[in-house]
Amino acid sequence: MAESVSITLTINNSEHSIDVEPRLLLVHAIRDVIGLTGTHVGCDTSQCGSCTVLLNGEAVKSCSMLAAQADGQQIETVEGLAAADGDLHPIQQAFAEKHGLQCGFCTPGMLMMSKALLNENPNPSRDEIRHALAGNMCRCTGYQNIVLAIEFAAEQMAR
Amino acid sequence: MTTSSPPRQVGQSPRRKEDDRLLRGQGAFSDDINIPGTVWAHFVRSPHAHAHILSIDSSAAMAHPGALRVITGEDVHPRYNPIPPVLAVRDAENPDSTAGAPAFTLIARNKAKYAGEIVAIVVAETREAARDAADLLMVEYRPLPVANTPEQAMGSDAPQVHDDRSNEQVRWLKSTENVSSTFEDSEIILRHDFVNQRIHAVPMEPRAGIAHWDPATQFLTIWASIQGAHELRTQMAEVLGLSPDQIRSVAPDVGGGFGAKHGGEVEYFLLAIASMELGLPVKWAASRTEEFLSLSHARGKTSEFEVAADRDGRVKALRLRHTTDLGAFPKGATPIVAQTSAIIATGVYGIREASFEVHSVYTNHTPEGAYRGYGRPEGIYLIERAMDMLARDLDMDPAEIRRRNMIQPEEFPYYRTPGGDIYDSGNYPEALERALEVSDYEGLRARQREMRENGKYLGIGLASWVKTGGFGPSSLDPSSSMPEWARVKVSPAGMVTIYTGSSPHGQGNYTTYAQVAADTLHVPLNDISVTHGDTATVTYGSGTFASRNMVVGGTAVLQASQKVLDKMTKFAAHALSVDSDGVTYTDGVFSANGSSITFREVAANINRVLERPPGMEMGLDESSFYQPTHLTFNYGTYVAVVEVDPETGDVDLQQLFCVDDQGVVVHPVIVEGQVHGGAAQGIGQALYEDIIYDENGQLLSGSLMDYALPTAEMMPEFISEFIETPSPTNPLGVKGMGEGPTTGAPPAVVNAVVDALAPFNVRDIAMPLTPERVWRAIQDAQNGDQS
Repeated sequence: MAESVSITLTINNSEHSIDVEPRLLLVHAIRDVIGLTGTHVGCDTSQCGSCTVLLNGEAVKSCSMLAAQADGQQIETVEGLAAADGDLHPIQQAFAEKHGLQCGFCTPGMLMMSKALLNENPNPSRDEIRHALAGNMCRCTGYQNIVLAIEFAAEQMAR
Repeated sequence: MTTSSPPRQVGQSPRRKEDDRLLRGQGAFSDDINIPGTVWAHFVRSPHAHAHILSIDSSAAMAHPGALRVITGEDVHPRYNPIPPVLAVRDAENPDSTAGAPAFTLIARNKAKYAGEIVAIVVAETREAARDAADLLMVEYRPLPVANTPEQAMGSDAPQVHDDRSNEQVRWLKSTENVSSTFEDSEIILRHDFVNQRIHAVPMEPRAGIAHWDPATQFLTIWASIQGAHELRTQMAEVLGLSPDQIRSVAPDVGGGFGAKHGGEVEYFLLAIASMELGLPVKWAASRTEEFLSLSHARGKTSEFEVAADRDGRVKALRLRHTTDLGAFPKGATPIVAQTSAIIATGVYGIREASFEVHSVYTNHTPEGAYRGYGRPEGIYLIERAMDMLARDLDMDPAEIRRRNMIQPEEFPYYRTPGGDIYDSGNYPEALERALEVSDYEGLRARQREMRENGKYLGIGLASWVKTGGFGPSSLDPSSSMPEWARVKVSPAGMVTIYTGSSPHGQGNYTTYAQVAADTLHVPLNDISVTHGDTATVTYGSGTFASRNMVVGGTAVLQASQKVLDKMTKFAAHALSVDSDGVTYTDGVFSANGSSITFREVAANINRVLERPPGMEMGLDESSFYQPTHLTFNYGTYVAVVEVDPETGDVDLQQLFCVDDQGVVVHPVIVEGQVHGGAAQGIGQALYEDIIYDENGQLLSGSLMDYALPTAEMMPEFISEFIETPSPTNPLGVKGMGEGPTTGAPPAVVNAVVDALAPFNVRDIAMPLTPERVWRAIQDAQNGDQS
């Protein structure tokens, strides 16, 4: 075993102190060490965005940073989206309402990207939504219903 | 009994029952499954397309901390069997080459036949240790000359992919009687060579699996990202020399398959072998590059195509010669893809004379396999491109030439094509006219003329297509009808569980099967759950492929639901002291002569011995097989609208109008989602995607950095409409629907681009229509160098 480093990750408001190999990717720390498997790995080149999480509120691809780089930072994953009482987040509800998912594999990354987008731009145009999704791939939906879902979520959240 | 139903669920679009879990990140995909004590496998793959394996030295790898075992072809071959081919081709001209098709070898021994073929498995305590140890494995190769295209591989001095047989696996001919004379007598002959480039399905979830052999009970459990748990179990038993009763196979949540995850994945067998060797659970999760190298490719065909027509544009005959690149092995059902592709090439048209010639050839490429459309997109592409060429030659509108040639509604049901397909039902002209109307075709043509005057190039492309569904018996293999099984169980509390052998991976069957059962049993959707994908709980299954889930799986659910209702009715009749014929079932209540008993009361009371009629067994638990007797044929007409920038060659695909007839639409929103997603994959082939090999058989587009998988900005607006002619082949009237859009989109988009460039005399551009190819086509046409 290579030498390990001790890091602390705050994920969905829970603190996790773990020892990891320095080369361990953040996504593998989240999935394999901490056991939150909602964040997925869909490629090895940072193209697909299935691993998107929020790092201090900003969308990052957790396959393209080391777990050690996230030491001491706040991370939000798909498991943290719903309210404490279990109610789905408006973005999650919008994806269900508009059929924005089929197999559901890319969905966690899409949801986290959507949250980052709507934080920054609460009322995006369809073109702006499509542009924001440039780093998130879906092979099932053709994207149209994902775009409609994000638009619908924005409307619901503005109420 | 008479029934009067509550509002029908079929035809409604309730929210999908599967979404909540997936939206919370609580899906259980194969890589999410962990068992204590699991160790990891890493597959060492050949870096050469064709090479002798001279030696494998595992000493350094085994010395790596955590390394447990290195398994090579020398270990596997003597003890385990290759994967048997799934389907035979029965009427090949050259039966020897077909019958002798090599089974799919699990792992290379002596010789690697494509870049990416597995030559060793390294097992270690962790994922990282397995990779590190694999890096230390010393494999000595001697590269061999490469069979790199089917045309080259058919040459007399070509490198032999398999030492014991020729590269041409199938040479197949089929023809009606008067093709030559029809060509001789015809006024117009159009001849063109087309290419359907090799592409890759790219399900977003890379394959993953975990195999657990328990030496104490001599029992294997395997979880794998596959489209059919039962098929894997059957193959696994043959490969490992076990009884199927010693194997539990599970397809948990599967992140897309599109045909590519339909059986024959060597990695899962090797995981099982590793687990049996070590007595430990062994796991693997593919990298995306592994997927490009080893998950089957599809479509790769070059085709010589000829049509004979009269001056009115009526097509009398066609000739087709397909040459298809099988890759190194006949994976799954690949051997008949090219034939199915050929015979569909008469499309939606009443062409009476046709001859088909197919050459399926081994190369040192990744094996081809099934992919959404299964040969039909390639065949339909030919006729739909040719129709546009013919229209241009005759100065006729592309809509008009289609109108003149279409099979007419009165020729159904069961129209027999020259290739032997039997189209079940439809109204092809209606789909065409509806598509013209929805897209405002005349308005688009007017806008096109106006824009051309201003130096802008709008293009409008039509494609009228037809695609099989349901995997009933085909003329190519009458024994190939694949049954499906369903079980419907009602608990004493009145909750309904459906067990199905066709497991969804995005198709929405948790919801749509529940809709089918709800309409028979009159229970709320929330009281119905669907169980699938596990041989321990599902008795039988064929799997999910060939647009068969609703056609075959849904019909089995309907039949099992009806059996349950029949038994409940008998019980209710007894309870109400009437004959079954005297019972009315309305909105969950059985009634007769002013008294009644509810669905839930029947569900509870049928378990009480004194309440049952004599001879009736307790419980409500019925199962049913449905064996399709025909294929279904869904069809439609698509209209693509593009604007092309002739300066840059850039194609802006603005809209795709889709008019589909899938028979009865069970869940319009889900079906529309299938149209979007299916068409998106077709657009990918038309404009972006390409599996490219270099001259040494090395895959160049082997990652998502290099392979242009469409993103949101690359997709058009989809406008989807349905017309409905119920299929006469099954009681639901459904036709299957996942693959038609992938068939219709490529010719619609290419026709639109070529239409846009008509003022430049561009006649054809080979897919994918990248800006460079479009720009070059314009330059070539301007220089008088017709493509």
